[in-house]
Amino acid sequence: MTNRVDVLVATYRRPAALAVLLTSLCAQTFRDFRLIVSDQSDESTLDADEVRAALRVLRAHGHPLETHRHLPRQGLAEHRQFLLDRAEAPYALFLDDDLILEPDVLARLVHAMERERCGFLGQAVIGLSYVDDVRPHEQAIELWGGPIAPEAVAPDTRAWERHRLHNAANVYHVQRRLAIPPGRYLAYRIAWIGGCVMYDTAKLRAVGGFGFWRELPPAHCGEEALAQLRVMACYGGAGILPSGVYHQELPTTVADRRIDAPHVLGLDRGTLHGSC
Amino acid sequence: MAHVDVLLPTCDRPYALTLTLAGLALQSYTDVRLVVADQNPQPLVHLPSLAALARIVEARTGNAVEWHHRPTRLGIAEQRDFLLARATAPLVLYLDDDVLMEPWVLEALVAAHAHERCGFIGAFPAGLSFRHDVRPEQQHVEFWNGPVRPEALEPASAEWERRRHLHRAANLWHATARHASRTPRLYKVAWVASCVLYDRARLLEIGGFSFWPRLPRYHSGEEVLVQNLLMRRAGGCAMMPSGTYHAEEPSTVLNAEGRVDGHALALLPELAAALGSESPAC
Repeated sequence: MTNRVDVLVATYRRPAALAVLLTSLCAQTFRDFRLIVSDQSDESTLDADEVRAALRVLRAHGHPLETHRHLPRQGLAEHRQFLLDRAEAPYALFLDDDLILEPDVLARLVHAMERERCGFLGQAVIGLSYVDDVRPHEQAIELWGGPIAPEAVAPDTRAWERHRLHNAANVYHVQRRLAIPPGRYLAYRIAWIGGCVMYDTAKLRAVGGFGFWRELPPAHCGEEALAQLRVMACYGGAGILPSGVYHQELPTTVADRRIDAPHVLGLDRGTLHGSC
Repeated sequence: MAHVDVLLPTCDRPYALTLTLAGLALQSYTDVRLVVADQNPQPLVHLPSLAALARIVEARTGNAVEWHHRPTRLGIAEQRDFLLARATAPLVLYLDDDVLMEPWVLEALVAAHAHERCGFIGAFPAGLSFRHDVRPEQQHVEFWNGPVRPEALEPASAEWERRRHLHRAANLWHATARHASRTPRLYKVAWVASCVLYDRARLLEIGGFSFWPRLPRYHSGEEVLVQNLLMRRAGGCAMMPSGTYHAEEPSTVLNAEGRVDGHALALLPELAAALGSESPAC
């Protein structure tokens, strides 16, 4: 029997951060998920004491667990596609390995996915070291007043600028101002959203998932953005507030950012490739 | 002022501490202030994950985290004494640096204390690596049916032995499965380690951990002693389910030979007599 959600985590050389993420999965109020972790570290992250301790709690909670060592490294897009190939649940939640989730994050995402029936929804990642860095010029937000509709957003257009809302702690400042009542959420328009994104698994597959990895060199970034642009063009996607997702603020493991997937490949081929 | 000061001594376990802080950061109960006594050579608060977790605790509780770097190691009882001197809240939670917590644990402990008003309530961590090591003979539980009452428990008595067996391996986890209930139940203990909520005024009444200079540098049993004294005056107990799990890392209170040089319980007859309660015959 499949779970409602498959949680998919790609990890590389961050055992302590991964253990924190897993601890926050132990604390989720929504429990109908399976966890799949794929590790590309040279020495297995999955054998670290702190990771094993957190995995024991998840097992005790009854979650099915799958762990993989997936080598050699062929870039993040290929790693995400490897995870997507293992997903069986209707919803696939991709999580970066350096986040911490408040206990209601999965519950809110699943509730919103069931209502909105769009391609994906995400909660933006908050960097609390910026809590005193209030940036009114980056707080512009366009709420979806009605149903979330397909939307084509191209790099470097005006809509592309929406990504600035996700910088620093902007989302934290905006959601405190909006004072959203408990149990409610607000969906807003995005260019893309990184780190904590729940996809309708079938819709992500319908536009080709991360299969574009074959068209990119292993050193790339922006693979999440590109997949989202393609899903969004066919099925729509959004960010939702409040976000209960925080960054552990570790240095990035993607050092070479010269090849940015949306700029190299664009979304046209994706929409043509898709079924919409 | 927060209602609960969380007092967290830490030493040589940066990664287990990370798990502990993650569990603390996600507690549903947020009327909390965190005070850390860090005995690592370099202060751990600058590690990326720990720094981020400290910020999350601050954002969710609204209280600044107090992080004391004190590399001079005088033993765990001295650490607890230092932390208690910094506390101002009516309740203090002593949390070891190797405990994973479910998000409801603190809320349940505070609610149980509000109901019982006893000296302490513990949430003992299960060792989940023993999940398949079921020991029915070590799962004996005595529940408090009715209010938690003072009791004078003699170390090494039959009752003492029976109670302490429950806190080994995953015995508590297995016993919990047998006695499952939606609301936590309170049970009788010899002592309870790792995650214990104390009534601060009661703890100060019996002298807290001020006995630490009388112990050798490497010791154990400091919580066993204060809990035994507290039980005589105010009662004490533990909560089932506990909602806590051990990170299962090696102990950090041992000497180079892997032992302790003294146990705080040696001071019990004298301290119990001084407090005017019946001295145990041990």
